[in-house]
Amino acid sequence: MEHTLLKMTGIKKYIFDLSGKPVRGTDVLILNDVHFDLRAGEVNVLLGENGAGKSTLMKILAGEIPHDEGSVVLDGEEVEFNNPKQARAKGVTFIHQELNLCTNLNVAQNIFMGREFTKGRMVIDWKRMYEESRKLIRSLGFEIDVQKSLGSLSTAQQQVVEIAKAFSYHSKILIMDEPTASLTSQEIKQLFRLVKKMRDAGLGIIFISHRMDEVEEIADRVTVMKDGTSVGILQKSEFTVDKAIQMMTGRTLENIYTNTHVVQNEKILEVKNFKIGDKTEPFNLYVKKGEIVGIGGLVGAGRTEFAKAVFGAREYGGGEVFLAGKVLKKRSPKCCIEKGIIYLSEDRKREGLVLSMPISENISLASLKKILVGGLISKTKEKNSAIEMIDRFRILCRDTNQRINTLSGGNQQKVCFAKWYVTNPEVLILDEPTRGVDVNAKAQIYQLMDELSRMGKAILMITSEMNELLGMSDRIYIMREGNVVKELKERSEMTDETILQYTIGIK
Amino acid sequence: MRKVKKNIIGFFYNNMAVLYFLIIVVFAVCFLPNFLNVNNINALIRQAPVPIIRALAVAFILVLGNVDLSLGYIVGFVSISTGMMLNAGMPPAAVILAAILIGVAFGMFNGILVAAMNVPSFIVTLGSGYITYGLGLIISGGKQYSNLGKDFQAFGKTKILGYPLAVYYGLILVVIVWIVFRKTRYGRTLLAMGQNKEAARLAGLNTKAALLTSFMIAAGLAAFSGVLLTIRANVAQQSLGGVGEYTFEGVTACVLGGTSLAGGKLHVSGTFFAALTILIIENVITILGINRYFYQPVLGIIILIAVLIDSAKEKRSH
Repeated sequence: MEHTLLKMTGIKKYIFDLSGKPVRGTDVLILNDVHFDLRAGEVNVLLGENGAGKSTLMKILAGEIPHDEGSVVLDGEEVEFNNPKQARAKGVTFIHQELNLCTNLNVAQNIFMGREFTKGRMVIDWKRMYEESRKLIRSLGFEIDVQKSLGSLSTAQQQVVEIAKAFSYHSKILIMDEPTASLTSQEIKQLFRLVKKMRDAGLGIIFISHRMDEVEEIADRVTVMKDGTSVGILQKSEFTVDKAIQMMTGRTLENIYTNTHVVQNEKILEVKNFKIGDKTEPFNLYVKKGEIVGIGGLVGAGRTEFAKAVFGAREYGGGEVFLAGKVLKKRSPKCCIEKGIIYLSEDRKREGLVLSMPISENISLASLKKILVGGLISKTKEKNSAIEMIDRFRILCRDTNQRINTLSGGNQQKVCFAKWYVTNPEVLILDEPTRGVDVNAKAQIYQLMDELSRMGKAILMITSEMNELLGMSDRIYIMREGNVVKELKERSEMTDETILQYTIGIK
Repeated sequence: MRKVKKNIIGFFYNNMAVLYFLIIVVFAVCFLPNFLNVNNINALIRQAPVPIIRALAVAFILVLGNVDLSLGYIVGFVSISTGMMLNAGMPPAAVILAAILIGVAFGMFNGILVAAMNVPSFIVTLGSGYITYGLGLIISGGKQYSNLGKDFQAFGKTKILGYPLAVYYGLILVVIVWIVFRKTRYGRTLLAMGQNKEAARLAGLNTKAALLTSFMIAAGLAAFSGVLLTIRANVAQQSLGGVGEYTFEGVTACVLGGTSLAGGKLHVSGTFFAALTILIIENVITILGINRYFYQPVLGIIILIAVLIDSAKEKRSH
């Protein structure tokens, strides 16, 4: 199917305000002469760092913001959308990263919101609602109880509902923004099957993703964006991760992971007979000074629960935690931080950052004692500390007073790191340290981790990204169903395949 | 000149309450000759401390996104118990101290239920307010006390530089609360918790203690305002605080001052000016001889306008 569904040419977009119109008095381009085309029956992956302009381009396509120059031709017809409704009517549907669904309503209600089937004029025809939505979901190859409330479904299932909804609008173009962010690898496989099915049915699918391994699997073509322009298009056959990264940043894959540290002999953190809950198996685990230990496993394997339990932020089922040989009783976040153990949360928006506070106050949040002068907070000390961290971590921002919610994901994560860095920790428990972070910032974070290890700190890294797990870990533990099922010590053991086998439970 | 203009606009943008204050003052000065009357101004100044302290008390509750409906009843209980204690011959200093501690104790009750047992503050304080009211009636037998003695009244009425001590208490407390929220770890903890409780907890801040003490401080401040009210009116009675209305009037001042009901955002100076603004509006209505019943609708409209302006500003900042 070579039919060109979409052709966006010469798209220009200046920095805009809330209504989408250019901000007066500035002429900074966010999108500079972008070309993008999509064929019917293909999956075109849109690849680029945070800030490259991918979301902006897609928002223009989906009618959320207007473009300033250039043309959008959809199925041979020039279009200019004033709102998402118009875009949907022409067959463009945008599935956002944060799904736009109502968790308190059921599946059928969500799918047919605003166009419910009615008996007469007023009464909803539930029978038909359920029937039609069941049909839709079945046609996608899934089986979901359409009467269940959306909130009771897993993220993967919610996504299927969102896709079914899009499908029901007879969409020609489906835009999916980082859809695999919170899915297990099983669920990702299912999603890809679904995506391919829709592609084969003739839809054009635009897939925004950071994850290289996924790109290789799902893309027919890859469009790379960098700094507001479209840098190039790779066919499936031409695509290599190295090439893509080079186009995105000018850096190759090997340079991302830094490994110059040496593992010391002393065990600094150790857990014995540790149980996450009452009914799980007890296990042992340790981290040495100067070591980066990776913890792999499926979402739901209990890694975050384990980390929080060690940190004293969560209940657990038993066992002991030793820091430098001494037992830590009665753990709490406060006392762990004082003793030098920190926990970087996997969900920075919900557990890591105070969005209403400026950068400087977020950085000092876990170490207020250090900026006191005469018992009171010294704004000067706080500001200086923030400036030092902004410098060190290369956080891109206007000034220390900037609100956190205006920073990009990568920079927000760096602020979280800075917050923990100033507490002078000995043991760092990092939960998905590069989630939602662009390649540039990722590389910087890996450098930082390596540096910390060189300084003799111990790092426990929970990650769902295989490349990261393999690229950064000195040793790997794999968790499944609440306990550690395998420890991989030898480099030879640490392969995709082995890890996957233990993760899923084949071995 | 451009930079000066930008800074002035910027200042008012971030301190709307000051703007409201100036508007009402200018209006009153220009259109009401009786406003600038020395007696009128002095009366206003003498009336100011209680609404100000009331707003400060409520601020400690709002910053965490909670609500405390029992404050007015605590004020009433405190008032009636000061009457009883003075009547029993207790020295005024002890009475005042005891009054504040009684308030703190009620606050602790509220705080324990909310912090330890996770009951929503609305429900807890609704119930505890009525319990407090009932307790007050029981211990006082429905009586009220007057002529509370010169020594007791001296605490609030002694004049320094022509103004009663109560006025200075109000000002000092505003400054103290301002310092607490800007410069202390406790204040920082409250502000962080108000926006993201989990992030604050994981950062090692003692969120449970902060929650508990926020209710205690609020109740303590409310109790203090009750003492000042009792002194000014020279009568100890249950309804002195305006029972149910006490909290709402405090919330009104806070919201007008730029404090968010959702928590995490607090504007101490704004609250101060907002409380004064509301006081002057009431004064203006009285001077104009407008039907007293207009006071609430007018206040309601002003609140709505202020909240609309605030939410437009929120949208803009995103």
